[in-house]
Amino acid sequence: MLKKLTELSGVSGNEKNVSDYIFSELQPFADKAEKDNIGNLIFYKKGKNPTGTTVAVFAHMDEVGLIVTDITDDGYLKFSSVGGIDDRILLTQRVLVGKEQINGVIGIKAVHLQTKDERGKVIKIEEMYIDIGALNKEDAQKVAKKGDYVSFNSPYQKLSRDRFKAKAIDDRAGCAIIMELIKESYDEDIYFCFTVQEETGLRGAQVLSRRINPDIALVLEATTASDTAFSPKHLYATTLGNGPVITNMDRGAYADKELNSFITNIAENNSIPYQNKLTSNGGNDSRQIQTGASGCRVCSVSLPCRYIHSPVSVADMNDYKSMKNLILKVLKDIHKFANKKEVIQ
Amino acid sequence: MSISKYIEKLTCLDGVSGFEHNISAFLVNYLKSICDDVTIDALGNVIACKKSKKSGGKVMLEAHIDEIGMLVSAIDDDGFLLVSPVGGIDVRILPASCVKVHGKEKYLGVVGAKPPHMMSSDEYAKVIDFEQIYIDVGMSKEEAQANIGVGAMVTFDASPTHLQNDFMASKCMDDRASVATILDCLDKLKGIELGYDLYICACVQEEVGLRGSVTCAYSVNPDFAIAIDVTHATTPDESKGTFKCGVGPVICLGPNIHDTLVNNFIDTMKRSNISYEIEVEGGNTGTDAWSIQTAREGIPTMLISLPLKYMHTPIETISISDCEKTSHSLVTFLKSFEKTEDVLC
Repeated sequence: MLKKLTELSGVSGNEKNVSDYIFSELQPFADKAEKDNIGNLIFYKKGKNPTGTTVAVFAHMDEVGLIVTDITDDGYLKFSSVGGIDDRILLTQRVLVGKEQINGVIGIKAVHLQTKDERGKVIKIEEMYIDIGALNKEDAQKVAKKGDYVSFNSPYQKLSRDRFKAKAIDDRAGCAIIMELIKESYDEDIYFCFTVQEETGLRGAQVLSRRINPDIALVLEATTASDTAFSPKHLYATTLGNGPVITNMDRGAYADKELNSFITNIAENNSIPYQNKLTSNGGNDSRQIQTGASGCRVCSVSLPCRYIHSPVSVADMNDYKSMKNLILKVLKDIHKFANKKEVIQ
Repeated sequence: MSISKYIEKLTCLDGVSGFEHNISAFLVNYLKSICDDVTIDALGNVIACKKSKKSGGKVMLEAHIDEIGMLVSAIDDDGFLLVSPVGGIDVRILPASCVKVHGKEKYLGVVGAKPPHMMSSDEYAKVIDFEQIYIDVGMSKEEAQANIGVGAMVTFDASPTHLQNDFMASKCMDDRASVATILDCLDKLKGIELGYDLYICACVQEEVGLRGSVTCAYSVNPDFAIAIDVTHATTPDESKGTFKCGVGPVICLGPNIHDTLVNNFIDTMKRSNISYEIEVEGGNTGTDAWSIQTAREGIPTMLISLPLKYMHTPIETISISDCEKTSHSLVTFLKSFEKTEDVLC
């Protein structure tokens, strides 16, 4: 399922392929299945012994990518980024353009033709272009147009030691976990939600948080693992193979301390490996969910992921399985986590 | 088979300069069925001869079979591979690319890139150094040492991608597209009695100093040689001195080229209404033509090139029509004389 999900194209604003797939797969498992005005998916599943608390689990369907901004007279496509992408990973990438997913390559002048100065400069996205093999502008316009979404052409592939490489591990990993967990039964009523446009500003979550107004929310994400060569150990953030990450805080949200402890205790009691995020960079839907409506107790649990926001993200299957197992146990027990809307006298 | 099929087969083989055995073996096997004599020399050069019953001399038709890539130079404590380049690579294309590491088996690897969240604004503006490049194969140090080891060959993981029209993007079009062109030329000469011995030479180590061709020319000792390589095609970031894909064979003029020979070639093109372009190089052409010219006691040499976009990247892009037109020009020329002396004076 991870293979299928990561290989679908669903750049922020164009998540249809992903949402159609998820909707058709999950509809049979939900008591209510809906798609809202912005494209978010909500699957409501009644619990066996609900306490009346609104519990929701979130993952986002969109991935970072590119969008065609212009077509040159010679038939090359100019583009800008959708979501946060480091310009330096783009050169010579293979891409898929538009609805028909036509092949393209991001070109660069041959090294032999560059002066020493030129070779020392970072090439900015404004200077780049996609070659689809068109002869001129008119020829290009037969198959491509302004506004076409462009995703990376990067198949799911295995590396050594249960590690794998794919694009969009952020956040198809979260989506895959929800897709598997919705099939289980729980005591509490749960909303299983898939948001759009997280990468362009947590926008799907804004809308969804108001619609559902959850009391408790779990955000399933992928997060930076920079446990790679040349990285100082204290900046690793998270480490592959050390289990899912229970986040204390990031640039957008402070996790609910008690919910965080609840989750941590479940991990410890069930011998599920876990780690904490060592840096506070990045942000995700939890920011919007926490403050989107009348306030929500939120915690993010994330899959450590190297080279995030690139076509070659790398994660560990053992971390994925541990994360799935942890969330399953948390959801099974979530009815035990009291909702503290006490009246103070 | 068609030229594009030859290209697909040849570009999927891996052989960095000095490690070309895969390609040599493939060509020996293939050429055995269509040539009279096939040998492989001490360096790995493949020499195949289409023998003539007449004694009109010896012609050498040459292309190089090595590709640019990397070698593992060290394995760090966490199993990441440090590398040295083989041939000229623009380091800016490496982050977030996929490679194959050739150890006990072929292992997929990812060239690591630091994520945007982790960078200071200073770092963001700088070009990465080769010393900061590493490859992640998902192995521990011990596994990497046991299965890969220092000195292992690393090639781009970049199989052919078909673009619009007849454009094709792949690694090592430089110079497998030329090899494919020569194989096609051989196919078209099948059953035709030439007046002289035609030597097809697939040479090694061009990218690291034009090394295989000089020893090959020494063994063959032809009356003249035609080297087929690639030249720069026009792209949005370079149009000076480049050639548009589709113009056909690009014939070189200059001190590296035998005057009479090339003029005879051009006359034949004009007589046969075959279109071509002229490239002028006042010094070292940077191809095997340079080393062949001064091999042995001096060999009259010619250079024909295929226009190629994005040279020395995993997305080298060529128009198949250029290969077809070049093959046709070679066939026409090779059939146009009985003795080599006819075209040397």
